[in-house]
Amino acid sequence: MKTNRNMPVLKAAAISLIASTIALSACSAPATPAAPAAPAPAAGKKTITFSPLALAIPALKGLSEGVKGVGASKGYDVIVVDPNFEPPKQAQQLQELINSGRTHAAWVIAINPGSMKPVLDLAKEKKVVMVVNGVPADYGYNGLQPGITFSRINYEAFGGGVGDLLGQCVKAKLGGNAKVIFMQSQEGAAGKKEQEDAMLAKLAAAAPGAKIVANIITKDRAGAQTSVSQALQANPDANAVMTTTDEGGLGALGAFKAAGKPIPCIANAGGNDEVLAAVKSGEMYGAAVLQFQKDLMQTFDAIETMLKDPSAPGKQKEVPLELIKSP
Amino acid sequence: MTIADPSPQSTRLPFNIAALVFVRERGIIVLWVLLLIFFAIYDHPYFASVSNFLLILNAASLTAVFAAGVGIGAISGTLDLSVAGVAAFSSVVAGKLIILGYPVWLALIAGMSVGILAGFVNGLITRRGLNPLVVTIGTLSMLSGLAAVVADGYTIPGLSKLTFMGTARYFGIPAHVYIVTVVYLIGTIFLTKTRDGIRLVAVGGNPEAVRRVGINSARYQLLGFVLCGACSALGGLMTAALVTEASPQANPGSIFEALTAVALSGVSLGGGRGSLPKVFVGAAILATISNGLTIAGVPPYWATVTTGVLLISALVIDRTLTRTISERLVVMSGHISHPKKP
Repeated sequence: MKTNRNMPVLKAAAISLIASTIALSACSAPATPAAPAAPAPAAGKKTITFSPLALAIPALKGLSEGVKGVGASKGYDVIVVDPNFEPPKQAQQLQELINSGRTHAAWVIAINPGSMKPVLDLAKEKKVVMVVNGVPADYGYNGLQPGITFSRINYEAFGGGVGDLLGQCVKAKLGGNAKVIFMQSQEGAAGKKEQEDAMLAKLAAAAPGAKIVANIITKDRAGAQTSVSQALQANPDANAVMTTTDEGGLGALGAFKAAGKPIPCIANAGGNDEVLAAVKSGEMYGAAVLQFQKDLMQTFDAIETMLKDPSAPGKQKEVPLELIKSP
Repeated sequence: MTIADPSPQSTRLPFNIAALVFVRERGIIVLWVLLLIFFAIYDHPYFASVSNFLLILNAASLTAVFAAGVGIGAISGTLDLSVAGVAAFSSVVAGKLIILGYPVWLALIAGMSVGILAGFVNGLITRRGLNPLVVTIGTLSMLSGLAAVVADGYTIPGLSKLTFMGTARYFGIPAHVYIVTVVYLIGTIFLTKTRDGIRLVAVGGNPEAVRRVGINSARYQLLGFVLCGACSALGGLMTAALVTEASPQANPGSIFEALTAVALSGVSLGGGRGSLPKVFVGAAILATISNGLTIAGVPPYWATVTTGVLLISALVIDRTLTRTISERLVVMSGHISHPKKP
């Protein structure tokens, strides 16, 4: 009977032990092969941190793999952090890495540049070099700063390219008139206003007969597909789609196919592998594509230059952009 | 292990029950200390420094404020899932007023007021017998939409007037740490030293029993919602102050982390039991794990895995310990009622 009475105690102790072991083993679990499993970098190796908007974005996940690969080939340890669209989390993670001396350089695609000035000031103080998106004014600076290179996405050109591509498609395939489903970015997305304003302006200039019949906020691909299906119920004669994201374009394509409607004119901003294939096959008319792989190489060049002299002023660069069209 | 044979005169618990009570009541503090020691060794020489400890406290502060709201709600027997929506709406209202040129103090009062109002509305609706989870999910959706309407779908940037309660440091300590200290001091004193606070806890434990002694239990559950709304609004304003912009997008991560901190702290999600300081320790544990793993360069997915494991483990351990302690006490009372014959 005594054993029975003790069973719950033993069970509790066992569960505590297992839980602690799982938690601690999770903490110390080995990283994926490209990431360091131990905290300290190898002797003499410098560490580069990559902090994108979120690894949930396939293009940025792919970019993070590229950073790891290029970093390893150049003899760097690479840490990838995932702020998951949370600006405070991104600032916190970077402060931890810079403040502790764990990283020597960081490539940051800031979710909210306005909140990152304390991080950049800390980096300057600790001689940690940074490549960040945007321009100095986004971070509250008047000009270029020592040890910081700014990399700008030209949202006007990015959005304008999409609007222009759709206008070309409307003129070429629809005789200049179209009913357009406009798939916008989520509230608070970086560059949303500049990008979307430029899209509308360029579309109006290239195809004045194109009319927006539905506005949809794109959150993910499944949601985009559902929303476009619903928009098609209200606007069965919609025949063009202009979208700010890959997820929006692919979701719209799926919705038109599911509805058994002819493939419309689709112009897309982004350019993941699936979108590139859709453009190549002619399912999408065109896409404005940020050339992240080219940007990757120029970013590493900038980091290596700055690491040689962290007190020298950084530069202003721009993420390469390319417009592609179906053959 | 055997059960001690307590004499009726003795007020001390037998060792094995006292140990279980200690693990349930103080285990979280031991866990935090163990984690600090573990990461100090694992992340040597980067982790163990005063400045990094302040970063951990700073990171814990935001979660702790949201967790205080969720915790007080849970203690009073209600669970409010609209936290993220209230935070977004409050920050957008305050941000809009600041951009329109109104004084900062007025904007902050307005932001806090809409949070309190949201909590009040949640409480009023649930008084009609509706399920609080469903009601607050509805409020979450409604407030997120309203925030987007107020902000016209865009973030409201340029809130640099709020840096005094965001990125500013006073005597080297981040502003958020001061705010969270004040919130937890007031909250703890309220729950443990005031009549209304003690009644609020009692209502969470057994609303029917409290009602039968003449206390309006629904009123105290409404108070739980109001306090949760106030904490959520404060969390939203602190977030806006930290990033100097107000985002209309509700961040579901805030409720997830707050719930994890609350569960880790041993607050009974069924109500009636919990300690606010331990809720802060729960938030500090999450911040410590995140900090330690980030510095270690461990892939970020493990932080999510670890948080989930901790949440489930905390619930299982709490449930098991509570049941075991109850069984032990029943056995003990049997010994007291029917002492062994010599």
